[in-house]
Amino acid sequence: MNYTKLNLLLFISLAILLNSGCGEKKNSSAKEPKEEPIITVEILDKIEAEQKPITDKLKKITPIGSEDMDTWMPGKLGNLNRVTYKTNAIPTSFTFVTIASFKSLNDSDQLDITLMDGAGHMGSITISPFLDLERITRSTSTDKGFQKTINKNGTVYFQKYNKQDDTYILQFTTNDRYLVKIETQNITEKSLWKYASQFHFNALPGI
Amino acid sequence: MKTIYILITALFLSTASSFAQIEGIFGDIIEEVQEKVGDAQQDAADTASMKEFKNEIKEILAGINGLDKYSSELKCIYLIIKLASLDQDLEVRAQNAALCKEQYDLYGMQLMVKASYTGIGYCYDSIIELLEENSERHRTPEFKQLLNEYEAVSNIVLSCLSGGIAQENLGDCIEFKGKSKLEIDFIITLGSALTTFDSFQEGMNDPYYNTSREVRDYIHTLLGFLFGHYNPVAALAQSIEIGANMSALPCK
Repeated sequence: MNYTKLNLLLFISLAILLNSGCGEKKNSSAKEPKEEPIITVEILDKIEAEQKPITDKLKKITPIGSEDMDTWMPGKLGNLNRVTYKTNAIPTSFTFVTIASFKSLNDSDQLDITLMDGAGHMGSITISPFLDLERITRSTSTDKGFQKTINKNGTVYFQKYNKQDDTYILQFTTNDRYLVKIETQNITEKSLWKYASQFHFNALPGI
Repeated sequence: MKTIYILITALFLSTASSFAQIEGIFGDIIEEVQEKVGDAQQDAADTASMKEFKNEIKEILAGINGLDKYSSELKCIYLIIKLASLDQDLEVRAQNAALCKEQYDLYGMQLMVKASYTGIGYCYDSIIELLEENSERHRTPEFKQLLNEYEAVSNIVLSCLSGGIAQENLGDCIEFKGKSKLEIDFIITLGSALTTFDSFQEGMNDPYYNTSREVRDYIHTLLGFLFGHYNPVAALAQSIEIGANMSALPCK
């Protein structure tokens, strides 16, 4: 009887020990390796210093006017019609931002563009880190989607895809002056690039 | 007229290194400038759009003190953003006005906005002092508190936007339920100053980066810009120029 009790006690103790040991192992394996940030104050300072010749010029330029933007912004992109359009959309940001939205006839496909002119004081400050997109973005790919930078015809694009919503984001700077974000829904990657090429950024005034 | 230009040039040179000197010299030249721009300002003040504009300014100034839970510094920043964005808008509209009378009225409204900076002259002392004492690398507890307060207010707007509310429909955001019209405008005005910066954060893609620090740095830069460009001294110099433009118009 005593032996039985002792065996039972030893068995329980062993079970507790094994269980706690497994738990520790489980906890340690759950810890993700700590990654270092790719964006640091030092990196941003370095980009700011390197891009100073451009941002100094931008500071002295007057942002594009609404009339010039009206002329430039297309009214149609392939089978997508422009449904909303606003220049100087956020005046209290002291940056000249233009927002436009394009939709297919049945509203299923959508493309939104946000374009900020880097001209002027706050515009030049806002655009500064994005003039070196490659340095401030991290490429990843998971079941939920991907994000990467692409170098195409001398322009660096940041592209992000969200599988769940079927949305793409394409962000880049152009003419050393404009910061552009194109967001699409229900549009293929091939069409995204096709539509993006229909905006004639080179026709916009430069620095 | 020469005297004014000399005084203003001297004032700009002296204030390039220190904002703190604004007050003293400002008082000496204000009367002379008012004489020059006063007539044009008075003529423009009688139009219907000017009356509407003056009432809007009056309403803001009357109600702002009622927003007790916000610091006086944040209330001042709101007033300056409000005036500066109006100032910028009127400048562009005046430049592009097709009709002479319309341009004249817009210049007059611009003069009213410029004059309003002197009305909130008290706002400049404490914040300019804070801006002089602080840099991005070294911030006093008092300034950190102001940046944190601003960040908290702007986060309301940013959470509305990330929740799918469009910029032009921000007033419909659930976060504003039960708030007064002025308080909603207060939050949207302060928060919207950061929305351009925020909307492009997608491209600064690093989950290990402290975006809150970036937001505070941006607010710091914005304050430096606002208080450097939209102050009573700069307004005086621009008022003379606007007054001259108005006098040169054939429809005055």
